[in-house]
Amino acid sequence: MTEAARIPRALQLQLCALAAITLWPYALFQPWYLSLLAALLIGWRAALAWQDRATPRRLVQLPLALVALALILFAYGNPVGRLPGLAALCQLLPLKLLETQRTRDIRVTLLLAFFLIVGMFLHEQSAIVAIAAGAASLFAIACAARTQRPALPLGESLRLGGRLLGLGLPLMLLLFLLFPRIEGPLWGMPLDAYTGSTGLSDRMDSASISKLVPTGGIAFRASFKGAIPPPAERYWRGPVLGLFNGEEWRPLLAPPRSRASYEEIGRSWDYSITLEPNNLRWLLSLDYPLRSDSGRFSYDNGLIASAPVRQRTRYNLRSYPDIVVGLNESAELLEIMQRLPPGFNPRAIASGEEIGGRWLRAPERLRAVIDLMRSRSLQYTLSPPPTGRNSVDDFLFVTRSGFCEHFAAAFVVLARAAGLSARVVTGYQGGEVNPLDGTLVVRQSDAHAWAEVWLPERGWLRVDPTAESFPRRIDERGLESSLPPSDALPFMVRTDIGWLRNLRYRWEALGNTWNLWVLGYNAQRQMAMLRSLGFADADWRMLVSLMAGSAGLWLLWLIWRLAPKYARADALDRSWQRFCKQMARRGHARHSWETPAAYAARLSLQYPAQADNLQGIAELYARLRYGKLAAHADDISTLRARIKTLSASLGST
Amino acid sequence: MSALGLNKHLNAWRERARRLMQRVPGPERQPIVLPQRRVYVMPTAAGLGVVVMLVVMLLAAINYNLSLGYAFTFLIAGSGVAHILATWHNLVGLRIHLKPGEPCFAGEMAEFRVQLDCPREQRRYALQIFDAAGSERLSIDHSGTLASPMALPAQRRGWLRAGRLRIETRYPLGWVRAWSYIEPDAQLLVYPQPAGDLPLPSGGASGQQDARQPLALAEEEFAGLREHRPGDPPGRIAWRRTARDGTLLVKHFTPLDYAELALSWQQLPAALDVEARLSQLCQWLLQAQTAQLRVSLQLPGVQLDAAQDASHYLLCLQTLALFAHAEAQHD
Repeated sequence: MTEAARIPRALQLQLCALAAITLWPYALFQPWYLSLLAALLIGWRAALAWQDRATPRRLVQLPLALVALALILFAYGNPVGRLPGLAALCQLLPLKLLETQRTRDIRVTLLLAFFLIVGMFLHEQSAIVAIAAGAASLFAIACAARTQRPALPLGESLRLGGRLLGLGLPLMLLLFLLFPRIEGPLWGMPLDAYTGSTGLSDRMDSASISKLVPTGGIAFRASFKGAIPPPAERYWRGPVLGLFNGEEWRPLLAPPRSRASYEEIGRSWDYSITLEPNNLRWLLSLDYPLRSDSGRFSYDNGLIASAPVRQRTRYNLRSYPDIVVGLNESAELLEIMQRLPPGFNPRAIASGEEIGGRWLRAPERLRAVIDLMRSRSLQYTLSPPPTGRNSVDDFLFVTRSGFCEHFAAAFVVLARAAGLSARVVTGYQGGEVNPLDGTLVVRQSDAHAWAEVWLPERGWLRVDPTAESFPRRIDERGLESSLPPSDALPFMVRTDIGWLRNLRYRWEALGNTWNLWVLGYNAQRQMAMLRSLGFADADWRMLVSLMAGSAGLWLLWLIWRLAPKYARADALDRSWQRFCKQMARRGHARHSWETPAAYAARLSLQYPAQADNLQGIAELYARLRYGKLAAHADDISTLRARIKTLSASLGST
Repeated sequence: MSALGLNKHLNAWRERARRLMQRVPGPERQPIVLPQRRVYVMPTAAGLGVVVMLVVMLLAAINYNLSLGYAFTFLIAGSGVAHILATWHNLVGLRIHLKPGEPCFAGEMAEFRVQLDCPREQRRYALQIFDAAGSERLSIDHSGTLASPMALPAQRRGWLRAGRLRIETRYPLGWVRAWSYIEPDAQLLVYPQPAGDLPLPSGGASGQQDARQPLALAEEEFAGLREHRPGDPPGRIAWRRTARDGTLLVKHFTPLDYAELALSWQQLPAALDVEARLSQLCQWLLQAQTAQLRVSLQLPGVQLDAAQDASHYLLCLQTLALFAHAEAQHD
């Protein structure tokens, strides 16, 4: 088909379908009006194709492109970056389709489709998206084949595409496993590169935790080697916030780099965590981690990675829940943990100072602070009323309802005013065991904030002001039971629908396997796999040579698979040709016009003694070759045997 | 050695080098079965686009650490390599048989018939044939038993060879093209282009009359109407009667003058060159055939006696076509 030929109608419609298949996953991630515009453009193009009408002039596309650009600017605010770029490509495909009329235009359309299939992975890399990408590429290849051969039926083009993808599949597996994985980006990433990752932040204001709850996504998974800790002990430690400026809580600006020392005593949990990327340096861990294969231990008993976590990370840990930490904390640090910003929350500070004046011993002061909070009959809610400048005062004395960040902040402010050293700890509390694979799944909706108070002789003591007021928050029933029914939880977190819960368990177990083996396959896993294959000191040179070798093997396999069948004469013809060759060696080559019978008749004149045998062979061959019944393997072996006996007897004469 | 001679040698060498490069030994016996070593593969513009795209995808996969990006890039690359082999196999082993069609006149399109098939029912798809000048002459959806007509321009009289043809395919995906050069030994006779506005010479047997004096077409007497037979000249259809009766009727004439028409090289003005003379003779011959005249043909060194049957006209045309033809070959 020549480049300038008009595209047949069926292929035009197929291209529209390809655009739709390629773009539908984007509808889940981009603003609805962008998807609507793309859908309208594709629909328009399909209608034109259906009615066999010409595509609009270029003059029409310019305003359409400007509309698309304006919508992208409206949605993303700036035209540069990963997401606006992808969104622009998403609009470019239908726009290109709108002017696709000749065969040569298809080339660009297909390239755009392939780019968009890969671009989708920037949004999401789930198994579903992988299946969608496979379907889209199958369709794109079918389109390419039909461009070359318009008479090709759709079904056959899909079968052809499937065959080509199937031939490429072994190479994909080999290269996926063996292509040397490089850690980290090759060039500077656009600023918005990681905005997609949700999760804890290293700041806490009066809404930072509660706004995570509705997202419902998975924060991390933990798989335990032995027993799984009871719900009340599932405090996953994240950022520790010691500074308060009146509005938000922050970590120490210049934290001591030394690690607090303590003894390994009591029970221990052995587990590994698969952390979803959160663009933070905190590696979540159960209180208190003592051994880990990645990250370093911080002064505040947490675990910190060397760089922000921008890809799914897996690390192994051991935590000791019963040990005492912070006994020899420095006086300077303890003093910092008592500071309060002047001019904020006067009523709370007054209440705290009153407690500090009445009680002298630290445990008594702590008791008094907790009692004070209990006596306020505070309400636990996901959608607290807004608070003003004095957020703790408003929470304790005016609105009296809030989420865990309000409880934690109020407690620490009261404790500090009472003369105690206290700090806010954020992280996750709880998690749900997937009964199918035994992993503990912790979601963004499990995000939590609690407090730690330093007591002489006791060190840092965890106090969960939310649990003190609402104990059900941390027992088996979790967040849902402690919230009033009017507070909406994400659909997937609700536990009252049994089959849905079961489905979710299955789905997440699958997701965990997928994450571990497909998405989490990185340089370390690559080396581990090589080691398990017996290559003890594997390096990238080894990888490259293995890769080249296996790709060569694949190529040989490919050549063998694709070798035309005509090269291999079937067994029947091979036998007959052997017979003819033997006779030719004796000086009686078969002429090309001779039928088997005529040839046998001529040979019989030369070898009258073998006449029966010769004619028998010719007759058998002719019957098997040209007869109605297909030659059976037994018949062919009979023929072969007769030829063998003939040549033996001829050789003896 | 003169510049012209050098040029001739250079051209000869160039031709020899081309044949060596393209592994075509010259006109080949048919059918031609394309062996592996004669089928070449090169990426097309679309294929280069795909390569660039794959590189960009791989870089993106590395940079953004997209596991599925790696997988997808490798999948498309693997399918692409498989498709290169598939394209190559779409041509290797193809059996080509080019058969000459009917002779034609110079300036017309000569029709060859191309038969493409494959051993063992292996079909080949989306094949194109280009002539030596590079223009597409045939596009076939799939190889099979039916021969497809392929028209090539017949520019000069004499034997027309199909020449060096390029057979090409981009199937299945169009990212590479596989091609091969063939030079089938099929040839087709091209008669001289009928041209010239000189009137028919007079019917005198002597042929000595002044050619410039206009002579009417041999006079005929109207002999009645008869039913149309295939081959009757359309000018003789009796349209009025046909319209009335509903059957196609032609006017039937009996030539008054059965005297033969002598077509002779010498009759023609001396100013005409060889090809113009042959064209004029061919024109006359066709007019004579239409009028069913007895014709004799006389060329330098050739003398064909007068006759009226179809084979005689054919012989005359062949003689004109091959007169003083350097590459006259009969095989």
